[in-house]
Amino acid sequence: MENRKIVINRAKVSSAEIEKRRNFNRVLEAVNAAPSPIPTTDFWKSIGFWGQTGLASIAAIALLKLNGVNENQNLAYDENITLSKSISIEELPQDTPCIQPKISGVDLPFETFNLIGNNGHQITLSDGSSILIPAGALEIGQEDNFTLRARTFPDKSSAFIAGIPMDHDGGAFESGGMIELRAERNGEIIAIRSENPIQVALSLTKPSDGFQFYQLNDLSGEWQSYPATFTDRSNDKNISENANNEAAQKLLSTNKQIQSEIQSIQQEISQNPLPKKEAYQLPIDKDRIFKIEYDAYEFPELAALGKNVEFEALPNQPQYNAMFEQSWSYFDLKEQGGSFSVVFGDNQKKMTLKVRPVLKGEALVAALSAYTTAKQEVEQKHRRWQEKQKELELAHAANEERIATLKATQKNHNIMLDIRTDAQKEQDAYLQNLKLQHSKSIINQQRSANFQTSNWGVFNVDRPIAYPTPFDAQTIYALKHAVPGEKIKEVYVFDLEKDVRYAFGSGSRGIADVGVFNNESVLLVLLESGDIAYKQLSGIKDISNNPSLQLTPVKAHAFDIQLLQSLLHEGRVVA
Amino acid sequence: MSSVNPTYHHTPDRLKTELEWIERAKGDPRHFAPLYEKYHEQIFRYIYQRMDDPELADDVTSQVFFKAIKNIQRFEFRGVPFGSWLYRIAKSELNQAFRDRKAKRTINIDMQHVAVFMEVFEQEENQINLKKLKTALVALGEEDVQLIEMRFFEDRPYKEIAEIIGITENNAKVKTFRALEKLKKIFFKK
Repeated sequence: MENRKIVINRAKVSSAEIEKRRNFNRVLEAVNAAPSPIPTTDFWKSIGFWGQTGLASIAAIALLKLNGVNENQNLAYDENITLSKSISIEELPQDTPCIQPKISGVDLPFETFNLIGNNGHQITLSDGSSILIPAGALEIGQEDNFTLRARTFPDKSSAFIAGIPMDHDGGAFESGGMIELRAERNGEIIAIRSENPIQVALSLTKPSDGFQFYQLNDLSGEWQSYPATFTDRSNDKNISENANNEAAQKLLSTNKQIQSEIQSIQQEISQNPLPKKEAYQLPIDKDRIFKIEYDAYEFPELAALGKNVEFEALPNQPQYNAMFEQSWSYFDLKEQGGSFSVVFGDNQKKMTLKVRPVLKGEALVAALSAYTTAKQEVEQKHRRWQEKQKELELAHAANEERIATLKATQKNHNIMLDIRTDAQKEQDAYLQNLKLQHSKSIINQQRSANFQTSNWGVFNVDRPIAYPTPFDAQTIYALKHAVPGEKIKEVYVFDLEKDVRYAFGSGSRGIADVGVFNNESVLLVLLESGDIAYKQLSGIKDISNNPSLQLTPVKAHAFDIQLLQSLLHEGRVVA
Repeated sequence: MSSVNPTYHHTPDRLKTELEWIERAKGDPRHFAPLYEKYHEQIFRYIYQRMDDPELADDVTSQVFFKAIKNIQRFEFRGVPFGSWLYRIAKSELNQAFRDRKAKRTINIDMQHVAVFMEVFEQEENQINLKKLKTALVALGEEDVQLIEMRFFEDRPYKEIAEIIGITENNAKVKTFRALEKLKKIFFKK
């Protein structure tokens, strides 16, 4: 029984590589060596025949005395062969084409959680990251068991060992925290319902300023921007557990502020009344205007108004008409506290009329103009205030309406809560508790990136750092020959100061592009044999123009994450 | 697609030249050299596309040419290019290698092909659907897989597929369509 193997995006073989394999003489020698007719012992069917041993044996084979006819001389044979097959899914769900451990037999372990049911789960990882799987989020049965696998990558060692591609936008990623999440049931990946995503709070290893959030496209191996919030950037920690209530409170508070603003406007309006005609000595009722003589020296305030001053009787004085229906022997203008009055009298009686001075002629025109201008200015102010007040009143009314709706929703919710069964109440309390634990976990973390997803995969807080300038050809030559008898496959430069790793030979940059910044770095080389070699650099001088460059070799079986961590001065303890 | 030799189908002049090479090779195996030079890359690619080990692919390729030279006397031109004859030997040798468990049957897919399938199936391009596609390809019959491979992964024209398999062009179209339908059915099977 044969199994089929599915390979995604295998490296392409170039025409030049195929041409290197072209060797007609080899085939011709085999043809000449083979007796004719071709024997029944199908020695040439053996693939090993075409290897070194087989070719070396050609001469010997030619000496063999073999008989029979080749059953395969009819070249139209074997047309109907159907391979027996079995469905073989060799890869675990967490294995993706673009995530392959760099060192054979060395990988970063997952934290594994065997969970039961689809009623909601909250998981806290060893680094404090929290995963909230809401009830019904997974496409599994209510009672189905499943396995959740998660691993975080707090340093360069862990990302390298796991084989996570760390290049983006022409640079190498400096990571502020990374997490890989997978879930499976019976060897099959479990889907997450897009309308009910899982929520993750990823613990960060450094402040998030300057970092972006990305998700790795498992299929293409490229990083794509992904929405997330960072607790060290805003008040993301303050997660409300009652959105309705919080919204209503906010609206009430807004309305209070609106009310206060309306009051201020009203106060402004009342403190800025329209100008009165009296203040400008303008006449109001021409029927009540009369002229009297007065001594300008005795009333200098009237003299200041000019010669054209008359007097207008104040309204609501019933004696006004009676006074003008008879003759008086004298009148006397009096002033008290800025108010004027005229006393009319004769031998028998006297009457007093309250009056105010009014202008006439040119003075009246000038005063009227001043009054109109002042009035218009105030009216304009009033209009602005009134418009603002109207806006505020509308906003207030709208908020009142929203508050009423929220209260009604809450009331309905409460009614629904009241008619829940005990089992439902228990379940709701359980889910509420999960959310609470997740929220607490976020609050307890010094800083975290919070996101929700309906896809499993790798999520990363990162920023791309530019690659160093490649070395000159001489240094590259020395590097290529730094391990005698070995061919270099891939080169990694771990920059300890920039906290980033640069990859050469595995992505878009080749071995000829290797370079380092003048920083403390570790040069790690993967050899064709599968072994590793490294060199710790205190700066660029340790490698550049160094014809006697020597690397420390390490056998693959002796290499592990602890060794890499010690080289990179990283202190993660791996279970 | 890089694995398809654009000179598979020839102009009458080139065909004539090729027939002359074949006639000379019938008289002396050494004259097979230009045919070897011409077809080596596409036969290697055809084999390596279906295997996971380049060294084994190299060995099987050598076997194909070994057998072609040994049997060149039997070749008769009947309007089908010499290349299709070589492909039929290659197919046979591959099956022999799989039967002998010397090589593992491999289906190599590029992500661009996955994208095409997802578009045809009107499905999102994600890890779950990729897994489903892989499962469907594993479950599909060998003949159907070969049709899918040649048409969709290697971008071969139906005429060439027909000549390699030894059926009519029209039949190749029908069979390929049916293979795609089967793949789709398995893909959507719960």
